[in-house]
Amino acid sequence: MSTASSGGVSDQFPAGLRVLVVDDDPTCLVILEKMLRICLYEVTKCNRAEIALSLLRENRNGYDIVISDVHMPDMDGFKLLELIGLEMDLPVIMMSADDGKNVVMKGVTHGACDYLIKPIRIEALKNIWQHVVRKRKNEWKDLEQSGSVEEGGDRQQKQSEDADYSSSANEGSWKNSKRRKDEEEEVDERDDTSTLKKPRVVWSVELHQQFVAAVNQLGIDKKHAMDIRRTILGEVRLSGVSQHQSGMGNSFISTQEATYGSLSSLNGLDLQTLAAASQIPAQSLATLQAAGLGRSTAKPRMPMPIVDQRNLFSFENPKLRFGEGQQQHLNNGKQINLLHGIPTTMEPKQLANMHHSAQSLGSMNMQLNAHGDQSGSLLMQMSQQQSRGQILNEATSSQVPRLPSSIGQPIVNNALASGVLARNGLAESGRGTGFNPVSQSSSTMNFPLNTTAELTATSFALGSAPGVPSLTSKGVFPEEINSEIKGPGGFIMPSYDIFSDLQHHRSHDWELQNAGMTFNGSQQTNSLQSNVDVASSVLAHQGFSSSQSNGQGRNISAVGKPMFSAGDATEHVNAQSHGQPLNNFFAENLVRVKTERVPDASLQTTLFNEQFGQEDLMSALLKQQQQQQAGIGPAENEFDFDGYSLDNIPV
Amino acid sequence: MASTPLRQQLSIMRQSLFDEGLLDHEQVSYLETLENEDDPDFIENVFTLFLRDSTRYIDSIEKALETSPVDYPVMERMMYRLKGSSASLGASKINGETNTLRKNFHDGDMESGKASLQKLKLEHVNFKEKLAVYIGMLKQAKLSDY
Repeated sequence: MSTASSGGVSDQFPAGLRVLVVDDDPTCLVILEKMLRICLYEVTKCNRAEIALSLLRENRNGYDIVISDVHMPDMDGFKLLELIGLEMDLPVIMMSADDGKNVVMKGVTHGACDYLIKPIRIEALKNIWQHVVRKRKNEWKDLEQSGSVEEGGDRQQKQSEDADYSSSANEGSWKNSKRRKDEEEEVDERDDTSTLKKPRVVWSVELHQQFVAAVNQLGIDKKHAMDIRRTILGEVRLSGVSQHQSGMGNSFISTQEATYGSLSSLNGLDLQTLAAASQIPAQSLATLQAAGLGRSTAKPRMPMPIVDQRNLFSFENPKLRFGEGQQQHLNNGKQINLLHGIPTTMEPKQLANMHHSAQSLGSMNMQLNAHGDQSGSLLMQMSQQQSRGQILNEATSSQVPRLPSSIGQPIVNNALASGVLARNGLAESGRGTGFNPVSQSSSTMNFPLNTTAELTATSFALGSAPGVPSLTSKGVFPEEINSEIKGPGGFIMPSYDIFSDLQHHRSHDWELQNAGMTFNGSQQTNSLQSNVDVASSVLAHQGFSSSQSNGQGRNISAVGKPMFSAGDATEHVNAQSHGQPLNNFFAENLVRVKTERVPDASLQTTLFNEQFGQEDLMSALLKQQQQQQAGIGPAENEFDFDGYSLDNIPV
Repeated sequence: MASTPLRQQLSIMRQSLFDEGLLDHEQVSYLETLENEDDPDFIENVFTLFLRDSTRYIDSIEKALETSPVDYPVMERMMYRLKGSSASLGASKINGETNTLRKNFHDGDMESGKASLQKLKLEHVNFKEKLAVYIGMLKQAKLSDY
């Protein structure tokens, strides 16, 4: 953890909080500095992002929190956000006179702890210390979590993280409230931000069982419902349900609504798919969904879910619905994109099946993830992912006339996230918020393009890794990536981690670099470790871990790094570590993975490696989880992908 | 501070700035509360900074508009900066004009955009003059207090 130091809270806390303010407008800088000093904080101001970065790098532990403007000349505020999240894992608050929803959402998905609209009042600044505390708390939690192998812990943590996230989201004026991890990118500083650091939990069989049991209960307690909802949120977000950009808080709400809506569509499909995929009795699934829907939305529409389910079942094209949602979501989140990427490879008939399945799976994933993120059956995840991907693609396609392009775009993002997508779908579970990073992709086009391209590039290098292959083989473009993703087995699932990381950091590159670096040289987690510290992005870990792991195709490790599945990536990684450019690419993706989890190569790769059987994957996942939990502390699982949390990278 | 004639004048001017809508009473009052003995020139500094920077921003916007093709990123950035600083300062008219400008350009309405830029410039010139006087008075009043 970056600042895990002991509580680090002096008696006068929050007085003395070390704040770094970055804004290129002198007037605002002066006013802000003044206000911060009145709050008794220790203020350092700078007007250039690069200066800020070098200040932070020179003195890693010299600051507690960063406040940065969005529009800056030398570097985009979001990029800075990501970098900080990756490298230093500090909470970052974004601010701007721009209060457009998209921008704010971008901040959230990139992992900003909060988003302040100018003019800023001192009241808004008085509370920023809580982001610091929250982040540290989560980091500690992560550490603890890693120690404990159980998934449940992760899940809980995740939930708490989510909760934190959401609560922070509600705070303040439009603050995204914390970076919800943020996606993933560091900038999120993870704890608060979207990137919940929870180590990713692998969706193990146990988890699945839990889930099923819960479903059966039907009476699902609120918690489950919430979980389900979360999971669904992940998906729903895609559909653009998360219209509420206001931080997490809204997300939840929106998610609920979205969930509700999407769920209905999903429910039908999901149930089917789920049943098929996970062999869960359709009924259970339905129940679950209904429960999930009913609960999460907490809206009078309760009866709907059930009805929808039925309709869904008969709904031939559930995905459309899903797609619709997704479409919307696309703009909002990358998630959708991710999925798209995945399905590409699927064959038409598979796709057809997948659609349904995907949707359900998607939701299932979500639900599952909600439950335990951690270990879900790989199968489920995988199938989910695939289906998700498909559905998304399909959905998207149907929805968006220009899908190919849009998908491509998301894919690009996804490319990185290809694993992430999988993850996202899965990771959605709780991470929803965090997840959105993926969803962020909608606007992330910019992002993904770069990243994806890089990813693809990296993927190529990695190519060898089965997990990665999907991405790599394809070529740098998202379209290819999608197909690629499918390649490995269609699972991109583990990508969640990546995704979460991705969202967290836009700067995947950054992560990748770390990841890449780790990969190569170290094959050891050592490298990763360092990266890990830096990048909380789980993705990074995940991806990397995979590489280390078994030579297997290094699937970016279940964590969602399928992309990285480093196995192959290692090769590249090596190159990368040396070659900056590669690293960047790789690092981005990998780093993401890595940062979060100790790149347990073995674990991760196993997930995706097609070579591995599902069983292997599962065990790999489980292993990873364990590993992650054991050692990964720093992994900030930005996303709770847990299912894939490869975070347990043996350090 | 004693209510010297200078101070009184200052207060009158201040009020007129509010009345004319050039400055936002609430925001300025708020900023004034931030000032304390340790930093008595805070408000002046902020005003001065703003005048200097806002001039720069507006010039940049104009230049960006004149290049061909139009340099939208720079324009965007400058507009946001102007929006943010004017909001933080309480320069209401400037802030309002900037918002109009932004909206016009976002809507793709170049003609209206250019027109509102001209209006912004006028407002800005007017604002600068008045605020410069006010700052001068502030400085003087402070000196007379010592």
